[in-house]
Amino acid sequence: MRRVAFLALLGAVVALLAYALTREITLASPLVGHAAPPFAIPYYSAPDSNLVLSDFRGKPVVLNFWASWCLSCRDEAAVLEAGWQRYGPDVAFMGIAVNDREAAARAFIERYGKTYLLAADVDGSVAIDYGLFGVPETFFIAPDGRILSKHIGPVSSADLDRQITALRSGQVGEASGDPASLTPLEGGQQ
Amino acid sequence: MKTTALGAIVIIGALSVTATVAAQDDALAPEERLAAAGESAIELTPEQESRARSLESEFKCPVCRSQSIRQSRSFMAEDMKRRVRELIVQGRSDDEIREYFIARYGEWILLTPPKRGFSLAAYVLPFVAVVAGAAMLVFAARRWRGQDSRRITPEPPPAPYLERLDKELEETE
Repeated sequence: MRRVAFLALLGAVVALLAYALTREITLASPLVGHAAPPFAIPYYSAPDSNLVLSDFRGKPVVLNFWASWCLSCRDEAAVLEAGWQRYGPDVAFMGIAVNDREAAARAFIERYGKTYLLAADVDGSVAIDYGLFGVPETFFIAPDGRILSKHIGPVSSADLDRQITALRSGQVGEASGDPASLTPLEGGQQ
Repeated sequence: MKTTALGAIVIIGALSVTATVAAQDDALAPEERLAAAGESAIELTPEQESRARSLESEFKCPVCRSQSIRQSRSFMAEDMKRRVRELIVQGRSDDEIREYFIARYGEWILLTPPKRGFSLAAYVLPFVAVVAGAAMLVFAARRWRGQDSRRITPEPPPAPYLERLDKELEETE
């Protein structure tokens, strides 16, 4: 009897710890299911004009946060460009560079042949508005402007296909991806 | 053979570190980012400054381990400190500023978890553990004391043995 009580107590403590750890790791966004925060930030291709999210209302949007200094962003660069070639322009693909030197970001764009909408979050305000923990992170925004899901870490072709299918059907999804593959937004001494 | 493999591992490791350091050089320093955005430091009154510092100590830095944005010098923390100050200047209350960050990062962003829901366990469990520990100690102490008292007060030997012992002692004397 005493052994059963001890095992029950141990099980409860382990379950509690597992829940707490899982909660920490999934980094689920409270923004999912809510309106995507608006932004207007300069395009890399035309720095005098802005990429304005609200201009794309009525169209599904794949919004990716990246940086040239993020190694895992290199893994997904070709996937996103291929996705844009396949799904665009019916689905808008946007890439926002976070905390990046302009020359480095431009070199990255050229090296990986990115042709979709690319802009710079110069003061880091969009990163805060979207509750970013690192790069890459990708948000899937429905035509009505609601965030339907968030992917953490580099997206694969299969992830992209699955998320865009859900986006078109208007389903609210869960956070997906692997937090371990996220490059923290550091860039300064911690 | 082992030496060659070790050498290859060291070279690959060194190259990876070099690539990571080189990649991090492409990130902007906080002052560079402010200059690039054409922004300057936000001036606050002493009372506003005190509120800003207090709020900055409440929010967890998203890219650090258990550090507040006030303690961290990472660029995310610097941006968040700036946002706190902007919101203060806009006239937002402390609760509104807390809600602003919770709406974006969830309650995860609070360094001290709120006293409700699952987070309540963080406040309640230590007391439960102390009470349970104390109860276990009392229980164990009682058990030990019971064992000791049994050892100290043994049953007297039967009368025939006592009589024989007395007799033998008399003979010895």
